[in-house]
Amino acid sequence: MYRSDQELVQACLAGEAGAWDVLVERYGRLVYSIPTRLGLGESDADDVFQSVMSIVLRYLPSLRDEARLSAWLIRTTYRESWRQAKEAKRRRGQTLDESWADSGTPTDTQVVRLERQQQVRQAMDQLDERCARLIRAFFFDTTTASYEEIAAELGMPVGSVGPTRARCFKKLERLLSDI
Amino acid sequence: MSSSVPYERLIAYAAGKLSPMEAGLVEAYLNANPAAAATVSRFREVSHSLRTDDTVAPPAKALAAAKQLYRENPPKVVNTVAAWMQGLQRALATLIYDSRPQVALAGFRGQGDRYQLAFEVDDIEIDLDVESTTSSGKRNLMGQISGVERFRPDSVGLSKPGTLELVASATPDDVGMFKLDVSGGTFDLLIGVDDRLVVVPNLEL
Repeated sequence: MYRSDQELVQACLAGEAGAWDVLVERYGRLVYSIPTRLGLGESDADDVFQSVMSIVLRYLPSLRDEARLSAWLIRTTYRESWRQAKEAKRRRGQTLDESWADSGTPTDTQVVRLERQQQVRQAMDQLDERCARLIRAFFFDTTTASYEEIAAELGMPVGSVGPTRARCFKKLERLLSDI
Repeated sequence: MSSSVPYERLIAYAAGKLSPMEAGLVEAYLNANPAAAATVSRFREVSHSLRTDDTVAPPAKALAAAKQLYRENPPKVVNTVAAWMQGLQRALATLIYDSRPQVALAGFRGQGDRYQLAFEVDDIEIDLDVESTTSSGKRNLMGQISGVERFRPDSVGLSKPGTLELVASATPDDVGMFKLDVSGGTFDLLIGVDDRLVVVPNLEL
């Protein structure tokens, strides 16, 4: 059963370690991808990831009322990435180059785009595998796969591909409105 | 197009999989059906998100280490706080401006002794000016809290990170300005506004 961020935070505060695992899984990609996209290596990206998750853990009581956890995480991760990059350069006796000038704070457009991607990922993760495959095939395949090909791949009758896909899209739409 | 367009066809239109003639018919239908147009708009957004999502999953080892954090340091119930603070609705402020990256890049030595930060949450903005006083090692934190609507913050304080244990506090003046002096360290800035407790986390002073 899907639990909102606020429900998970409450459960963490109540001592449920499993709820923390769900939060880490839910936001793992979002957080880890920011330092890698900013050019940090794997080791530094790992450090940023642990650092951000430590901050989340420390601030759980304050996050219990946070309606936009992903936006807060995005800004916090940018900040920690900048800190990590600065520290890594300092250890090598270097300073940050100009490309890092605005990297400590993301633009509102970047935040909204990453938030939206996060919402779509969360909704897709809640779909069963067949629905997720049908939707991905529809949006990603450059050459439209025939109903026969899709039916063969997913082991379903040809006649049910169209109606099943429509049901999957409706489910995705409902999930997105709940997030 | 007078008759209804099936849901599946709307999705195909959103994905750009219809011929120009078919697309034209769907567009005529959408012009007269705002609900269907909203569905198409949502799926265009989904399509765009899926196509542009270049995120990478953290390595299994990093994921396991992050999960372990909770087992090693489970959240503690804070019992050293004034009851009114506990009951307030919490809101975490996010950083929107930091003068330090620009100063560091410009290579101004010594300018790091004074810097400006700005945070926001909901309808509130918090501007901070941090200055080191070299003689005593103290930090002067001056700030102003402002918002769209006129209000007066009840109190501000610096606490140990992640706790409500205050190490310094002040009452803002009529225009929301305040000043706090502390030894260097990392603190949370707590601002009580009406029934909310705004938290500016992890402030390095």
